[in-house]
Amino acid sequence: MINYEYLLSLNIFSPLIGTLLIAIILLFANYNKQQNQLENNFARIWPNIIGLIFASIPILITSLLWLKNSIFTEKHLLAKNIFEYYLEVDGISILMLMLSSFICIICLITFWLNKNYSKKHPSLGVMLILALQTCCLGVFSAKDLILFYIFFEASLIPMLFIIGIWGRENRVYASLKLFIYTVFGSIFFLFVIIYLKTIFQSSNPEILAPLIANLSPNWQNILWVCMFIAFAIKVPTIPFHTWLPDAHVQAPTFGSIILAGVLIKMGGYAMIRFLIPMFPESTEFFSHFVCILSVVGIIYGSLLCIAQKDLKKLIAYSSVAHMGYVNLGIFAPCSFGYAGAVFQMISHGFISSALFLSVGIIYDRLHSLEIIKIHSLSTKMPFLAITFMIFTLGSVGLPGTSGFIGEFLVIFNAANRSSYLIYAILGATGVILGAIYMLILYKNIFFKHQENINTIGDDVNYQTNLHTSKKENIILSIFAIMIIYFGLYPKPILEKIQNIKNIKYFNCSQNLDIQKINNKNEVKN
Amino acid sequence: MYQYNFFNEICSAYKFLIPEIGLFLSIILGIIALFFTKNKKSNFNIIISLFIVTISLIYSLKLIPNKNFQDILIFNDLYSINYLTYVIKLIILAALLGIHIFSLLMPKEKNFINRFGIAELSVLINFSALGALFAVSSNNFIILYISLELQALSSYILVANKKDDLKSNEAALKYFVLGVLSSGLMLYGVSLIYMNTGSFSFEKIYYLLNNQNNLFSTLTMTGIVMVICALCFKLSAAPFHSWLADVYEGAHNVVVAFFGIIPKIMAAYIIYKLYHYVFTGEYLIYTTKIISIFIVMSLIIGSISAIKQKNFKRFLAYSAVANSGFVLLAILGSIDQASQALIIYFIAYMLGFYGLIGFAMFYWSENYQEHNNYEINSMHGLNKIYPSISIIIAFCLFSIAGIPPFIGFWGKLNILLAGISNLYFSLIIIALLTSVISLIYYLKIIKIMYFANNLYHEQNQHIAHHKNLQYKNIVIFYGITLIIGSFIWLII
Repeated sequence: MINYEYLLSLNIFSPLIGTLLIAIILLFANYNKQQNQLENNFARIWPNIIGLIFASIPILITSLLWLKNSIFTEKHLLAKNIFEYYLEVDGISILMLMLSSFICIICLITFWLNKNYSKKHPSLGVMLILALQTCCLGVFSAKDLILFYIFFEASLIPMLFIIGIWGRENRVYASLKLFIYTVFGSIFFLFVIIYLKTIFQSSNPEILAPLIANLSPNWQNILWVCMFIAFAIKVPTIPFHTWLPDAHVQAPTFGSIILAGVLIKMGGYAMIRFLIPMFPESTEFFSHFVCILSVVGIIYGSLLCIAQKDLKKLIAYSSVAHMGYVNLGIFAPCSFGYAGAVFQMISHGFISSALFLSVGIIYDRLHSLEIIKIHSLSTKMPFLAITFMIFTLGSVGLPGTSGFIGEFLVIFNAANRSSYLIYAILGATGVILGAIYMLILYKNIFFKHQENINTIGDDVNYQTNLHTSKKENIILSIFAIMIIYFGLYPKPILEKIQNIKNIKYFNCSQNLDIQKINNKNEVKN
Repeated sequence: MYQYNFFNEICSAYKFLIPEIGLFLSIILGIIALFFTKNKKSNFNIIISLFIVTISLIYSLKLIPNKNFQDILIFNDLYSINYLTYVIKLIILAALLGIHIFSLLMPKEKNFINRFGIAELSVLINFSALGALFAVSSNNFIILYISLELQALSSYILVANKKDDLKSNEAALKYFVLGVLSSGLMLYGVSLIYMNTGSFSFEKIYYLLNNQNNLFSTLTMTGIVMVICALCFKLSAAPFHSWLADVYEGAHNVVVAFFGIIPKIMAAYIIYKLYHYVFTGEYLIYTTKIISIFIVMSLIIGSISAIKQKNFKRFLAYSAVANSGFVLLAILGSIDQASQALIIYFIAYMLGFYGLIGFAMFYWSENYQEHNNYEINSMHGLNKIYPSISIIIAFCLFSIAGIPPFIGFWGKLNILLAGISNLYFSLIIIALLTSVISLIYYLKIIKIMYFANNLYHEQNQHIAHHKNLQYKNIVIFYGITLIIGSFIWLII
């Protein structure tokens, strides 16, 4: 079963099959315009069932792949000279696949739980989430550059529709900005792809890596910059981050969850997978530059968070700050920086999705996201208060939560080399700033009680029952348990990170090789 | 003893002349059927053309020659047939099929004079396509000119179909004057080339131009420039694009569907052939420079002019100008990559374009709207009214814009691969940047359809929900072909 030849393709395209089935169902349904819903009962129920089934198939397949600790590949030659359909799933990819399939299911459930969203084009929402899942799974499995580019770009189309249809007041501006900004960056990536394809007749990074070393250093640097722009916009690195606050503030809850949980990780993953193995010398040339940008991102993002008045924008900027750690981990040269970066990506996927889910619950109840207006939620929504505390601690990076391990590995990695020590110090101060804004936020929302005021948020009566429902409790507790579990026992994730091919990363002067640590553990056992 | 005459030639090569023969047969039968039509109704005529075109298409699909097929030259070197011409003729036939299906199934206008369905017009479309088929296979400048004229004269009449509409008359007059001017320009250019070489045949011209005895001659270069300019007029590349917006706006929708594909493919292939096979050698550098100028102008003018357009058809025209910039970029590549890129790009563009024109035909016809004005603003909130059709329009727009995973992306990818093969970096960068700019207006339509403002919504609710099942099924079937098309191509 695990050696089934098309398993990886099935993993990627099963949500797309679900989309097509829902489209076929909708073809046979009649639309009643007065009531603004579908007439036939089967057209109201079946899309949801199909959505749930086909969104959970990838998790099952990915769990199968997780159990076997090897690298899976699938290779077909299509369209003769242009295109090789090459999928490869190794340790890092498996982690991202698990993360994306899990977050997509949570996204779907969040879509159904919120009546405001699921009344408006319910089946279109399910189709878009499934299509987005396909694109995310494809991005993390692809090894060929053109295939990666296809999924990378295709993930923007469902995001455009999700933000544009279900978003808030300024949604058109935010969705168009997201789309055009990211496509503008990807154009440079496309330029690099076609240039390399024409000169070397290949778009496989394994084959290209030794061939690129024959180019002149100037050309390598130019190509590196072009590729870096594309991924830096996605990460987002400062100064290419301005699409993120708008996109998050205007997006619906389920849009924010998948944007912060999965789509942002594509940038960091692409850097690890393509940018560094293909251009190692240029990366060394530019590494100080990128480390400066990432440290600026950490500190500037955190400082911006302290000044925010809008709850969702605050968490959006905290995403910018946390992804600065990812960049720092990738580009500070030592062998386990990328392990810290990958772990930070996964833990941030959980933490920020959980934070946006909580913010979505607050918005759903209180209809307002201004921090001034929100108060005394610890008495009104106790379960949310508990779980939000765990998410806050995770975001801060308290040891014991998964947020700590990623940040620690990144900072330790940067501190290992004397010329990068300054980035480690500044990154550590970023942790303190993170604590500042998250704890102040928690205090302002949950612990602040205002007795003379009878309304919370936007005219919600103080006496109204604001408790979270059972389903929401379950999801919040799942997130909380995962954050604490991986904070105390990160071995499953770190184990998978070591399961990669020997790609040439930076050489570390102090030989702190994870392979050697692994060997030591095996010798001890 | 082999006697050269017309009959023998056709017998030996008839397999590869099936597109032309089939189309000619449909023209003759159509003209005969004109005598039997009652009250100028023409369904019978269209059905005849449809039938014969389908048969010739299916029959010729079975006989596609091998890729390494040598050039066949028949009719005393006037006519050449090879793999590429055959495929392009098939594309033209397929496009013709789509046009006849459109003219058969579209809702008829109440004003009879403006209706496209008068019997002789389908015959005229077939004539024009026949001219295109002859031009693609021509191996001689005289034959090229004759077939271009055949194609052009029929299309002048087609544009002027709507006799009551002022816009149609204006468009026809503009197109006629400019078209005749470009034909004259081409003839003069051909005569200059003849002056230097003494022959009209492509092969002899290539041989004579690159002969050691023949030095570079400015007059020949002028002739080459004139020929290319005349062909770029047909392709609607800038700066010869000014006729396109008016023709799209004024002509009938079926004629617009015709103009979007068939003259463009024909002109693209002829420029490709002249660039790679005839005007090469010493003249290559200069030809490349001229075509590069046209590329840059088409891309920039096409993408920027379309931003402010309020009329759907003018918007399509300017996006067509930008697309012809891409087509010229494909021609600049190496021979193999250029041909492959042209074929794939035109198939992709045809699918996307026909979706948009089909939508324009039905949505702004008199059954659905009171005003026949083709305004983009009247598409507000289309998602709520016709959800399946708005998804298909979104697919077509993304395909033309070149966003993966739709088939238009593969076309653009092939063109960029072809264009970069000779390291024309600045052209590639301009092409990529203008494709981002063109995203602005493609997304504007999607924004208007989906992310609707509530004000405009209510204005559209009064549109009666006509149970025109034909319409819906066609569009849905079309959407399925578009989606499948984006993936099946990978297997080919």
